[in-house]
Amino acid sequence: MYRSIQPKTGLPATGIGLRTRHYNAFRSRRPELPFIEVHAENHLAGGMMRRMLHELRPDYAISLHCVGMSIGSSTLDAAHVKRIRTLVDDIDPLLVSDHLSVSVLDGVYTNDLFPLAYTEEALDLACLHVDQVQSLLGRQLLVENPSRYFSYAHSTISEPQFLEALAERTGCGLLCDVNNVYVTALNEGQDPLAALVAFPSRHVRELHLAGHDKVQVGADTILIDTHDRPVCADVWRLFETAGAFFEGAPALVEWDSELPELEVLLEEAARADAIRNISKRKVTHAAAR
Amino acid sequence: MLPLAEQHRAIRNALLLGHAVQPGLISGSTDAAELRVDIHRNHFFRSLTKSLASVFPATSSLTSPRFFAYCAHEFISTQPPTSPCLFEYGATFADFIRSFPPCSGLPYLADVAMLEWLVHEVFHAPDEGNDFRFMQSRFPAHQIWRAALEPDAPAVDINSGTAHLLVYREGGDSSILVIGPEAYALLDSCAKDLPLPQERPPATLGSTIPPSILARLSGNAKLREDFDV
Repeated sequence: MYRSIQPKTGLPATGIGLRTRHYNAFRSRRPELPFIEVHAENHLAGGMMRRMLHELRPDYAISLHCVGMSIGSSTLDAAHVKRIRTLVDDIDPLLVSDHLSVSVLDGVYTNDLFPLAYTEEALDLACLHVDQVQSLLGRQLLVENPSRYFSYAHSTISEPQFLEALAERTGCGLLCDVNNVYVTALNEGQDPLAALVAFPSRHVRELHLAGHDKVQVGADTILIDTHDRPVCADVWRLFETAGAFFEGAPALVEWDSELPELEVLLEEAARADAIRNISKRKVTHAAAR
Repeated sequence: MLPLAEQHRAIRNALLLGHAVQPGLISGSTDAAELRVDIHRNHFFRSLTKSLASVFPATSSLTSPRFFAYCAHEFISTQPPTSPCLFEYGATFADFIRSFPPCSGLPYLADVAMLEWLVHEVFHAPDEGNDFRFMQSRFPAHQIWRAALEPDAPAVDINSGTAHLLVYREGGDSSILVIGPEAYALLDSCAKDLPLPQERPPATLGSTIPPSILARLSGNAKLREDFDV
């Protein structure tokens, strides 16, 4: 039996995104964690990348975070979703998620999360794609709110409304990236707390925490979602609200470049738990479902 | 407003080719819109360059970071990823280097890149099956590769002749083995499903090619007979 996301207190606990560079340290340390999350696309082949998951699977629940399903594209790459399905069948993940974004543009995979315009047409298409993904995976998908650096002039639906409609119509869950809420709100001159309150909370199944950069772009200061540093004080404050607001959702600390020692990620996860008064974490997998 | 597919083509061209974003698509002034799209453009090129540098560390260190970034930028612009999996990106980078005129001063660079791709491919290969590759280079590509990555590696004579190399997985890692021209010819014939060389392969061949790989080729009747695998 492996550890799961629900601690004995009934509150959800915090996991970390596990990257290859931390794998050896993680394996020898075997930290007490409710779950780990990996980028599904990095583990679709065989070899060490797949064995790493097999090795950790008996002790940790694994969440698969995808970057390439491209929910907002004009067509869905079903072959790719089927590859994800083979990984899902192999490791029986706790959660599977991807982003509300476009990562395939006219056949080119950009390794980037380009935002989509929030129109009725885009909503219909996103619903169709999420339906297809969920039926190909045979399970629920969580969709993450993006970090945006601009909005489209022809968007007619707000982001929270778009996410809510997507969840209502497809039965998908939502992944609320608290850092993305903050980054997008400030980039649009909005209040992050108001943006968080507007988030369709009853569909939220997971929270993300990460660091961002601040750059000068022309006359404007823009926040960029870099995942290369600690969570900032403002985002921690927002997380205090989010933690209470999205009570049932486990949280995750993401760090993707300029990786520090594993210890730093574990400290950030412990801090998230402390904010939510979580001390004990072990329970059964069944209880988490 | 353009239909979605056309809109995405326009954004693709904005990212890849630096085309202007369709006026009015993005809120705010045209200049501000361009700068905001630049954030995605930069991420696109930077993240893919970083990925190439991690798959091709020796190729990168044999050039300067700036020159490598320049090659990567040209490669990414003309051959962007067609798969969402980053580990699958770069299969044609060695061929690109071979035909990219600014690289012509380093004639061995493409072969080193090819070797690095094979090492990478074998590392990610499925556990069962075809987890070895082989190549020949008119340079000692494996020695150049080592010298580029290990500061204490012996000096390399780049004119020391053709190298025949086998890349296979040993434990979790890729290993490079120097095999002779006979072993190379044998592997090449098997791979292309050509008739095997008529003469019986020299007995030494069995010790050149690791037994695990010979065993994988054992579907071939003549090979089975010759090597008793």
